[in-house]
Amino acid sequence: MLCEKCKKAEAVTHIRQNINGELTETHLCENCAAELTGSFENHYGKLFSDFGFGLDSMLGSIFGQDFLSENLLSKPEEKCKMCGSTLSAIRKSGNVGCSECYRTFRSELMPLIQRIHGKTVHSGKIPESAEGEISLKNKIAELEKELKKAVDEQNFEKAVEIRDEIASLKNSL
Amino acid sequence: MNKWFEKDNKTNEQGVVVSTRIRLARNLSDIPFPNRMTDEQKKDVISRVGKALEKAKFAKDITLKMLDMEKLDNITANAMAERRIISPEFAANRKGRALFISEDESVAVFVNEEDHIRIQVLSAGSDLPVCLKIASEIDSYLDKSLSFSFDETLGYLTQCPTNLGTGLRASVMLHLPMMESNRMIENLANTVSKLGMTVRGSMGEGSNSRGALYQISNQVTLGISEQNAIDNLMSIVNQVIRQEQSLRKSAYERDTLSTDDQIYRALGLLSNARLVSTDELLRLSSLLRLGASLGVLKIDVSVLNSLLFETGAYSICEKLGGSPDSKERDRLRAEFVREKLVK
Ligand SMILES: [Zn+2]
Ligand SMILES: [Zn+2]
Repeated sequence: MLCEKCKKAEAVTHIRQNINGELTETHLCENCAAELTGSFENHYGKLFSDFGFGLDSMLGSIFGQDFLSENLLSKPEEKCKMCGSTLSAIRKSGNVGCSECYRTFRSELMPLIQRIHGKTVHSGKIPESAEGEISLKNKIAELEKELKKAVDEQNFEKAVEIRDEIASLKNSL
Repeated sequence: MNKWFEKDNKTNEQGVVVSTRIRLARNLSDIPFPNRMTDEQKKDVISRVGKALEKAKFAKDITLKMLDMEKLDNITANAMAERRIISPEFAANRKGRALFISEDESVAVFVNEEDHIRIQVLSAGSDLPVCLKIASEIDSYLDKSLSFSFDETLGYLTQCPTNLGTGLRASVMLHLPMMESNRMIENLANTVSKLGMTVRGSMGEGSNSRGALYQISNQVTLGISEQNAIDNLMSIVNQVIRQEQSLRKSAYERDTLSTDDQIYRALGLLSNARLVSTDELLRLSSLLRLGASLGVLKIDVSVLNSLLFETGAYSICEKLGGSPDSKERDRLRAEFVREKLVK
């Protein structure tokens, strides 16, 4: 089988991804594969592509699909307040500029993230530094549900109580 | 002190697992990611990490010493890459980067690689849970003073969205000569990709993987906990180990004489050759590894690992000097291999 990239040499390897049930497969020759993984001086190189190999190559096309939509191109590009990145810069490099970018461009990045991981909500370790804030936010979300329930039940006395509690929790955020 | 891969390893899963790696990607929230950092900011991050680690002592008496990558010479840096400590990219671009590393090199904290901080734990054998525990301890310790960038929905924020969530990349390097010769690798790659993991040749790709060394790693990092990710990985790895072992056993029973012959030929060549290229060494030491696992040869895993991790071009130059001329390197490599095998 010929390499799908240069269509000149025999394909010796393939990159296969299954993301979200969607299987993509690319057959490549040694040169194109090396180009993809970054050509390293020594034979140990490929071991170190843990972070990115395969997915890197996908990123280009994924970013392409996500960001080439018309409405993005027609208005002046928004910039991240912290690092100055624009969506097209992120798209071009495949790298996000800073933590704030994930907030600024969240809605645009979300489909991409969904496609990479199949999921969009973190599960696993939460750093101690974030624990307090997160449990507070969870508590507020819970109280807001209770508040709605109290209002629905026309239990206004209780609703006022909950509303005050939410206000004081929000103050300490 | 012995390096991590030279430690006697009795539990290397019957000669199939070569090594295990855990990496955690972390970032600071108030500084742009490495692709957008200024030189000042790079220095700032290095000094913050340095301060945080200054008096740190972790379980098993692990302490981390700083290596300023800028001050490292080319040969030393690339030899480290050959020993799997750093990536060839990290070795090549040393400006504004630092490394905090334990004496046996099993534990390392990279600063300003693809993320501000990457914590790496290596081990010979397949101790994923142990490696994760060490990495997580260092992570929690650093978080106390550095407050890593974390989003309650997206988890740990990383420069590349492929690492979002846990920021965990776990991988196991396996020696699969029999699965390779039975053309089963492609099938394996196909199967694990459906489970959010990848297989690839450690020393070259696909059918051309040299030394029959393959690496299985998790790919998905968001929406799956650290524990689940390594449990999934281990369950695949264990199945692969069983398959490779049963293939070895039946191949050996089917044709003991030819198998013995190949293994002893490899030993004969490596014990006597005066010029050995890395290609030839990978091919022949794969047979030695197989021979050791079948009980045909008595060779320590630590020796096999030295043949694998310490014989790259830069490692040979670093240890034995010699000119960069490749013939001289091949001569020194042959000498190193002979000495290892005689011992
Ligand atoms: Zn090609
Ligand atoms: Zn930004």
